[in-house]
Amino acid sequence: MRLSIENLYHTYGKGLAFETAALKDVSFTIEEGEFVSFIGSTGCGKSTLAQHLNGLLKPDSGRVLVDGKDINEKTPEAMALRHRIGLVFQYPEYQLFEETVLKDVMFGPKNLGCSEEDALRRSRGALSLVSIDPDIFGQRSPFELSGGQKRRVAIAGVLAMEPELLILDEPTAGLDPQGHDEILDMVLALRKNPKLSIVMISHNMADVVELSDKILLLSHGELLKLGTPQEVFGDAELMARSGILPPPAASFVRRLAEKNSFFSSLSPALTTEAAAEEIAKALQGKFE
Amino acid sequence: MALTDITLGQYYPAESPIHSLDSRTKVLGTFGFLISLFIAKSFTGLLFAGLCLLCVIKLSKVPLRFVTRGLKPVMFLIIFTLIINVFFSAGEHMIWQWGIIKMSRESIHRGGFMAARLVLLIFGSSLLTLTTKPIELTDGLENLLGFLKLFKVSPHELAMMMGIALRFIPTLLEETDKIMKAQTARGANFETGKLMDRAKSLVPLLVPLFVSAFRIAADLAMAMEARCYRGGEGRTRLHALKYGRKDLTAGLLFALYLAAMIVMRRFPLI
Ligand SMILES: Nc1ncnc2c1ncn2[C@@H]1O[C@H](COP(=O)(O)OP(=O)(O)OP(=O)(O)O)[C@@H](O)[C@H]1O
Ligand SMILES: [Mg+2]
Repeated sequence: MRLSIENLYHTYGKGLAFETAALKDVSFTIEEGEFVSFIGSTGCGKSTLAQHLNGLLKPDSGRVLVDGKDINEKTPEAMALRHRIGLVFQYPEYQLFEETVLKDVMFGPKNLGCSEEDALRRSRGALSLVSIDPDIFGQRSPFELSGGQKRRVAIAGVLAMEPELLILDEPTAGLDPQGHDEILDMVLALRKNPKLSIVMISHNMADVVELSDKILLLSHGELLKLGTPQEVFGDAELMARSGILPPPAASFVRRLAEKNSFFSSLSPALTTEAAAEEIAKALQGKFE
Repeated sequence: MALTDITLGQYYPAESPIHSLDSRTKVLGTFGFLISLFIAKSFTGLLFAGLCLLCVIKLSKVPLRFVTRGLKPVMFLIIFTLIINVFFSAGEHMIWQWGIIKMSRESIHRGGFMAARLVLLIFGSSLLTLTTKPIELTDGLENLLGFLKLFKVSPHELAMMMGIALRFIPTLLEETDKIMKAQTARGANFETGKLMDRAKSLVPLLVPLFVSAFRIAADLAMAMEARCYRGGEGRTRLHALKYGRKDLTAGLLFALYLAAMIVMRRFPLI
């Protein structure tokens, strides 16, 4: 599925004391199977943009198109289009409500009109995708799980609706390192599905460069850049303007080159893996 | 309308003579104003009260639409009052009758009067919370309720509970908005359907809302304890309440207003 945004504007609290223009003339396209990360400093409009992608918020002007069709029309077809896009909110564990994990995950598919068996099959599948064993946890109360487990159940609740575009709003916020890694592994696994496009909002630049095909950089409601991680983080002027810090590995390589002229020929690296490779290569040269 | 548009108990920051009055003056003034509405027997009285209130609103620099938005949640009550009074109460000069439904000159007069009074009640009390920070409001109330100590009730605890409740209204509305959106994203439908279905569709909203409310309350309790809160005994204040000249002026003006209201009760024009 191909999602296009055309000249999107959104203002909160129109005509009130606290009126804020949250999105200003945003246009871009997400291709099928692409992994796009939304980044930008806090309050720049990432969550607002995400909520437009599945019609939860309506734009003041502009359009959201799925395969060329507007999702904000008042027709049943437009509604069906919206259901092909799954949105996982920040802190999704606070939306759990059912008696058992399995019932909670089945809520979404049932709302789509799936039969009991079909909903059950989808839900078991979704739970396995997030590494929650439905046989062990399926009949437990969702309120008895750990924070990271709750969050994965909540994500399964959206996955069970079998979206073609999955939007994750800060999926690792507020988790301990282990919970963070579990979610990251899960996203890595989901990413293998060539039909599934994924949008992730994150403040963790290491995760962003690790996962993204493309990065969308927002600042004060305006789209500054949509490009590959190299294009975005390689542009020093852009980085300075947006107030975003590059991933730790990139900063490390740059500092290393500054500290010792031997490393000055290192080419910029974004991930830990790439940085290690660069340094190893340079050292190899020295010892031969 | 988004849920977060509800203004009940919200503060509108501005610099105005009304904002800078002592909160006790404002509480007493509002209380007095509400009573004065019941002194009025005629439209003249209400009209005068309304005009005075309008002056105060202008002085307070709160945009009129913020004050009128307080009506939204109670619109139903006002319309209900209007209908009951106009169509179901007795009167001499019948205009129209159908079974038990009847309308007379007196009943229209009475209905309009009750509704107008309700509207003024709401405006008056909205203005209090719009121009007074919750913390000032509770400080003022605590001070004014000091006499409750005689009955072994702690005014501090009462005021603190009220302050927290006020503070929680916008938080809970925001939380409701968020959960509603999250469940809508999972295909939940809160807007259409039969009554039974709609009642059922509230479960995915209410359960997480209760869980959140308890979580927020527990966090707040923890934060208060971490700052050594242990009740009102021996607590001093950063901003001590003090009556000033402005409060004297306000008191005198209010006395004039009240006198006018009483005179108008004796000599109603319409
Ligand atoms: N419900 C709302 N009512 C009014 N203003 C809002 C609302 N939600 C967000 N805003 C404002 O819109 C702007 C964008 O908010 P948004 O939540 O999209 O930011 P964000 O990029 O997701 O930030 P964060 O990284 O902190 O999650 C902010 O200035 C915010 O204050
Ligand atoms: Mg956000």
